[in-house]
Amino acid sequence: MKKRRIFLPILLATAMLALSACGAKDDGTSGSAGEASSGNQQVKLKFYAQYSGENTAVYDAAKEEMKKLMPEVDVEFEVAAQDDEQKIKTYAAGGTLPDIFFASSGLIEALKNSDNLYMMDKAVEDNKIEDQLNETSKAMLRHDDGHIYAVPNVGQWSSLIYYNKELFEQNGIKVPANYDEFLEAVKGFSAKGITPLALFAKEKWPGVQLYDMAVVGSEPAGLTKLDGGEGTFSDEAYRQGAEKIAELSKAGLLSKNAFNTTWDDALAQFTSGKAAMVLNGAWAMSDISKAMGDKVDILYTPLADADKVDQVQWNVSGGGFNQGFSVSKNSKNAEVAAKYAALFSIEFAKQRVIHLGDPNPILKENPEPLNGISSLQEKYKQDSANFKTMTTFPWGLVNAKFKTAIEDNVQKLMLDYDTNAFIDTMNKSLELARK
Amino acid sequence: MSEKWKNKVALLVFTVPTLLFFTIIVFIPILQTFQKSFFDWDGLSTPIFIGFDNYLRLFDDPDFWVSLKNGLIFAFVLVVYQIGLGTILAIVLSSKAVRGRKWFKTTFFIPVVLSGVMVSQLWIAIYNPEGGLLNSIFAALGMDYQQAWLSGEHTSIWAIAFTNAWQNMGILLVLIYTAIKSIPEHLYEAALIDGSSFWHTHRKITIPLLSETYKFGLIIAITGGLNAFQNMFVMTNGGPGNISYTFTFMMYKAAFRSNEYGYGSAAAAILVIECLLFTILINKFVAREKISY
Repeated sequence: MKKRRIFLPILLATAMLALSACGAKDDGTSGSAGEASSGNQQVKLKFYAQYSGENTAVYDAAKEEMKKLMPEVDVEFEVAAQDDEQKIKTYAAGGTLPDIFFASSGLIEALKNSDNLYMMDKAVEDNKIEDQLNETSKAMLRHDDGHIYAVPNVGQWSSLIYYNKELFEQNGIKVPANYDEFLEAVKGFSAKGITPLALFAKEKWPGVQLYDMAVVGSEPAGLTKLDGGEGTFSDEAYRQGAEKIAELSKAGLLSKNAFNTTWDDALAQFTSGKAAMVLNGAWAMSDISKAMGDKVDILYTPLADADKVDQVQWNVSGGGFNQGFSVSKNSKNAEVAAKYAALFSIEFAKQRVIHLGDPNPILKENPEPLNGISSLQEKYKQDSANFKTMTTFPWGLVNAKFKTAIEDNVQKLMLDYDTNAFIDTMNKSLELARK
Repeated sequence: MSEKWKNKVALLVFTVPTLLFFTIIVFIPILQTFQKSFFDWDGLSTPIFIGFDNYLRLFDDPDFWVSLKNGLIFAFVLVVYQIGLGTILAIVLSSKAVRGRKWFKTTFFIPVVLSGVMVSQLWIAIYNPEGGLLNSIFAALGMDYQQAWLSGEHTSIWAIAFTNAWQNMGILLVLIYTAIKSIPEHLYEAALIDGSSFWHTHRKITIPLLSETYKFGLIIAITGGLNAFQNMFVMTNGGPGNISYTFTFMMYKAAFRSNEYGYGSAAAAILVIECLLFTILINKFVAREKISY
């Protein structure tokens, strides 16, 4: 009986301890595993990044190079989850942001407003980062308020429609240079049972990008104008863009399974000749070139009107924006982390060229790719010098409410072809997002 | 210590940890959700009190009505398939005349132990409009009925709900089967002596005596349907557009994609109220009298 009397309170106390431990507050070390940064003491930093796939080698190589520049720092990569930034936002809400992390424009906005971001102006200035960037990349460095919260690590990617040259030739279909020809191509391929465009619409952004491509022919700022608080979907350019997407979808632009198609599926359809075109950013060029060789080419503005195409051919969709490696304001070693993040961005950009043959890095210097670059990458490199204006990719949209609304409603437009419903709903969403 | 006090201590020891755990894990977060639903809050910055604005906005949001409708369809499919088919199968399997009953019971229960993601992937392949099993069956039967099951405005939520119903039917089947087995044999013997047919016996004896099991089954099927998230997250990502949204998906979109935690909390609060309402109604109208043998 005595034993039981002791046992029961111990059981209760253990349960309480276990439960209260669940809610223990972090002391704000923000994941730093190392010691303070004074002197030459070793510092260990947590780095939350897209450390996976083709980028793994790039991160590893950049880390090796950084050992020469900052030998006192060791970084531990944490693979970023593809989860609508839930994990990183949860870290922020709990005050446990990693020391360094990759931040998109939307995330920068949210973390800046909640005072979680370390201002990197001094680190950029002290380490002469701006001097190493080319002119187009300098514009990506600063936030709207003029300060630096993230140092860009990749250049301005264009959104592209990759097409299978052989398939066009074999089926006697003209490579489209404008919207009318594009519509004809869609009808032609559709009639032959070939998917005109492999869109990986299981992700919501490719649909938005296609819509942006339909708009840039008339409005060079594309969706960034609306995101920035100007204009509405009733404006001619946006209405016309919606009409084009509806018309193309009705003509059979997409496969029946497009909304369940992943990038791997879309690439497989394209490389196997089941789809004539595929949409993605210029970053996919390396993979596509490897798989298709000289059979593939690219289109920048195939949805522009025939009478305007000459003037707008270099007003391309896509682009670079204020995003890159950021530092947590609560990091124990924020100053060291900011220096490391700023220098790492430069090293990362170099290694992307060396390992992946990035045709348009952010840098002034031109490192040599290990395996050279494909003819397609060479073409893109030359073309990119002509780009007059660029827009954005959906993760570059700053207004998260606008971003989610456009992602859902473009898919609906592709499904029900109802342009008026799209414009009405988007105008309401826009009004709400701008409040 | 008197017997009275010993009982009270034992009662406390057995209930307090569970109550404490439930309060911390479930009750307090629900209260917090209700509290946050009155704020304009991005989850990170200082919340701003806006009263009922989030709720007023909800009723003007097309996503809300789509989510409400889809939640009800989902719950309806679960009730019909899991309880309806579960009852029929349980009655059949409880008959001694059926051979291989154990094998059937195990087979029907297998999907329950599979991962939801795996089952969703399996059904994505079945529903694939280009060469998927379902369309191929229609084609093999000479029918020109080819559907984009997961992308169709009128088929998507039904297809997803069926996937969930198929996977979890085994739970209700086992519950109903166990309840049937606990019905005293002499009731059936009396019905047999009176010349009652197989179906008449089950309609008049089995089904009425299952009412308490049905009460529990209805609660888990309906709240499960209203709460559904995983299948649509894996199978359609809520899309195309918003056509396969439910309240949980709407909540996820608001909180994690639009940075509107306050608005997401309002959607969650409505979901909690909806589930509570159904639970109260079921408790009020189903199995009002306690059955004892």
